[in-house]
Amino acid sequence: MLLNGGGMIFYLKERDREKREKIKEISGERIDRCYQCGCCSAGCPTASEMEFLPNTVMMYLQEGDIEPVLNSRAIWICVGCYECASRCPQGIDIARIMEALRTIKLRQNYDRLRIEEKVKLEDYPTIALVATMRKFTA
Amino acid sequence: MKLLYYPGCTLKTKAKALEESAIEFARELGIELIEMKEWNCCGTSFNLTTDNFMHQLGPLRNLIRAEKLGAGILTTICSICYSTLWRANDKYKADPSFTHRVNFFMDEEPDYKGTVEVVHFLRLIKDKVGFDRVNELVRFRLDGLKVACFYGCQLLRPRELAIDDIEHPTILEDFVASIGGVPVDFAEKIECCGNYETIAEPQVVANRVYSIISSARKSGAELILTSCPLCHFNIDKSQVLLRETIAGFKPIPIMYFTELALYCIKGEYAESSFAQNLIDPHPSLSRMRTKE
Repeated sequence: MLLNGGGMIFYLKERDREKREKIKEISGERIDRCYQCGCCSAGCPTASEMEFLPNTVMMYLQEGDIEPVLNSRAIWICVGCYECASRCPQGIDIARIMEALRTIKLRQNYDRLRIEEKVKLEDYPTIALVATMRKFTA
Repeated sequence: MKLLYYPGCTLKTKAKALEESAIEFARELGIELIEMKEWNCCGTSFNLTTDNFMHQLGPLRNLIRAEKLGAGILTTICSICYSTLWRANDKYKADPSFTHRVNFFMDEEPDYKGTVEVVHFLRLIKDKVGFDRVNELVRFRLDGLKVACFYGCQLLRPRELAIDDIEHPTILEDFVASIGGVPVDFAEKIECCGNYETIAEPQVVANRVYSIISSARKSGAELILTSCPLCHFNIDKSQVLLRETIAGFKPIPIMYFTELALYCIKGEYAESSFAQNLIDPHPSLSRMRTKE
C-alpha cells in the first residue's frame, strides 16, 4: 500500500499489522503523524545508549516492522522523561509509544530483570525499586 | 498557615534529610506542614498506557483521603510523587467516563469530587510566601557560591504540570538568588538523570551523570541543587563510581534546596542530614559568612 503521510512516501510492508494496531490502541497515539524530523532523538538524553533512536523506532512502526523494535534494548532505556514528547512538532507522545512497546512485552509475561538478583534492595531508594518493578517486570 | 502534605516512601527512608529540612524550612516561613494520615504509595511512575485504570487507583486514593480531610491543596516535596499525583488528578478531572469508573470501582471510599490541587513545595513557597520573605530570613550569605540548579524531568514535563517554564525554568535560580547564592546556567539542567535505570542499567545513569556534572563544571558550579530524591541519589552515587573509574574526575556535591535554605537561615544544620551524602558538601559551604 502506498501512503502519502506529511509529504513523505512510505511503502507499508504490512508485516505485522495486528501488532501495530495494538501499539496504537495501547498508546492512544497516531504513529502515521511522524514526519521524521528527528526532534525526539535530538532531545532524548539517553539516545546514545539506544541501538534504535526514537525516530528510528517510529520509522520501523510506520513500516510495520515491529519485531526488531519490540526486541530492542532501546525501549527499556527510555524512562519516560518526556523530552521527546515535549518537543515533537506533530504532538506525538513518543513516551507513550515506548510504554506501549514495553507493555506488549510485559503482557507476554516477560521480565526484563529479576530485581532481587540484581541489587541489594536496602541500598536503593524505594521510588527506584517500585518504578523498576512496575516498568520492568510482568 | 497550615498545609496538608504528602510525604511518599522515599522521604521516610533514603531521603529523610529532604523531609526533615523541608518541614523545618517551612516552619521558618510560617507554614506548618501536616503529614496526611493513611497515605499510600503514589505509584512512583505514571503509567502511560490508555488502559491504565488500575495504576491510577493508588494515587487517587490519596487524593480522596486528602479531600476527606478538607484540604484544598496537597503539598508534595518529592518530584516523583508530585508528577504521579498531579497526573492522576488531571486524568480524573479531564475524563468523565474514567471518573465514573473510579468511583464505581472504589465503592469503599467516598466519591472524589476533584477539589484537591496537587502543588509542589517549591511552587508553593514562591506563590504563597514569596522568595523576598526567604531573603529576609537569611542570616548567613553564601559569599558568591556558584550553584547549579538541576530540575530533572519530573517537575517540568509534560508541559501541563510544569512548575515553571518547560525549557527555561528559573524558579530554582530565583530561589538561590534569594538566599545569596550565584545561580549558574548550564545546558543539562532540565535533562533526565537516568531515573529508575539506576537499578537495571547503572552505567546508563553514570553516563548521564558524567554529562550533567561536566556541563555544570563548565559553568563553574561548586554545588548542585535539586528537589528530587532520585536525582539526588543518582548524582551522588554515580559520582563515586565516576571518581573511581575516570582519572581526574572532580565530583560536585549535591544538596536539596531545603537543606541549603536552612543552612543559610541557621548557619548550621544537623550533621545527620549530610550523613546521607556520599560527596561531602562541606568544602563548598565553608565559605559561608555572616550577613552584615
